[in-house]
Amino acid sequence: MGGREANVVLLDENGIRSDGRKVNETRKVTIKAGVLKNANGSAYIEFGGNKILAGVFGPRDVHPKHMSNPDTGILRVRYHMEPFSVGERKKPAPSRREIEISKVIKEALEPAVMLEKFPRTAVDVFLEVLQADGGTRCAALDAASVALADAGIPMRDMVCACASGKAGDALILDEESQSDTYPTMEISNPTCRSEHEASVSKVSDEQLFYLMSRGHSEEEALAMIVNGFFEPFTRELPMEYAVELNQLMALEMEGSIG
Amino acid sequence: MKKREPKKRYVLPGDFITTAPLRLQGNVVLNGKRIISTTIGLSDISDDSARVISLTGVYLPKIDDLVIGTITSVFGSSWFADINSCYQGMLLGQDVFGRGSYPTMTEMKERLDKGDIIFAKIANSDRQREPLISIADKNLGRIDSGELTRISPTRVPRLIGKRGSMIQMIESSTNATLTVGQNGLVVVSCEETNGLLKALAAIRMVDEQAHLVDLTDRVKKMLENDGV
Repeated sequence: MGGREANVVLLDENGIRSDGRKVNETRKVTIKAGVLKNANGSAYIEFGGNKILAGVFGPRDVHPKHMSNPDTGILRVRYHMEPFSVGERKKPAPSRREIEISKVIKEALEPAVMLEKFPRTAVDVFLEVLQADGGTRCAALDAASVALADAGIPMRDMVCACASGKAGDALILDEESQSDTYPTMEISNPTCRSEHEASVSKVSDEQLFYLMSRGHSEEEALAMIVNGFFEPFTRELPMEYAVELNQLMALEMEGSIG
Repeated sequence: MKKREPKKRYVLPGDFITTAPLRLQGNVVLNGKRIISTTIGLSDISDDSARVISLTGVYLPKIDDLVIGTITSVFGSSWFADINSCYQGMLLGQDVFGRGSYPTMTEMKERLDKGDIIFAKIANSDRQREPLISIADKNLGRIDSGELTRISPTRVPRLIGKRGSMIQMIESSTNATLTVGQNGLVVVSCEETNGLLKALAAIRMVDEQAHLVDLTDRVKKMLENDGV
């Protein structure tokens, strides 16, 4: 999503990141436990620009009853981003991404939490991202682990996480959201044959709706989104080729919706 | 034999306690040769065992615990009581009316109805079924009057104190009677309003400051200063 500008400097030659941190510096972390009165355990984490609230309820009765396990307790995790947590309003309904992150966090916590002590019960973990700035899933996992300890649920260890990624050629830890958005890829196997990869996907309804709400027709909006993907490429071409390519694209797409 | 560090330490889940071959008592697990804490609390190493005194957590029923519960439903020939745990306490009709009797719903409701507070004993608790509670003993049964308060179940040993020192101190200086359930529910009954309020304040203080040392002295001081 967004412009794919290749010239963003994530890490300059002095080893300073785009947000002014050194390569080996983490962002400022503050964690506070016991912030919610009605939860059995809770925690609030500020991880750089991330602000996440975690609440743990339980062990408690499982509803619906058929989900309960007579041998052990179950862990349920909900990771949710508030609509105001990101630059552009996020729809409050759980997205595929959130569902997956909930699952990933659950599976990270499960081996540590000794649920076998509470058969036929459930421990619910709610994670609300109030402000997102890259690495929310890791910060959310940290908060969840503190909240579980605050709830007094026996754990073999505290669980913590850190995001990692590539900035140019360097591997860095604890990325910011800007580094999140511009991925690079490198194939280091000299014997393999690699080709251009084409990924086929439907143009996001969300993006389409956004542009249409700004007064573009559906066709125009679609063309703009598709052209946006080509933009970094067309910029490299000589002017007249670029214009021709754009017109060709427009011709090709005329009348084809979706 | 050299005494192992007698001081209690604050520990978090995953914190290393000791490597010595000790009996694992509570809230600890063995990881190879290392004894690891599983909860937030104070580590306590005695001559032959290691444990962590938990500072947070919910109540888990143990056989022979005395608990205070609220009847939530009357069901066939048994009652279900909220015992401040993740499980409901089940009180069988035959426990109250004697074996082989088949009480009707009206008889059951007459004896104990929804909302009644009972002082009960955990008769049986296993992983398969809801814990069984019993009121068939003297001192057990319905509690008719008093003020019900709730503290964290992990604070109950502090409220009672060494050989009941804390509870005796509160009772004697306020003329109140405290009925303490292991599940963190406390019923305070007192003739005078002042004593009742003082006892409640003392209980709240124990709940908030259970992790501090000299708690009995602090509570005593509070009770003396806050007089009338």
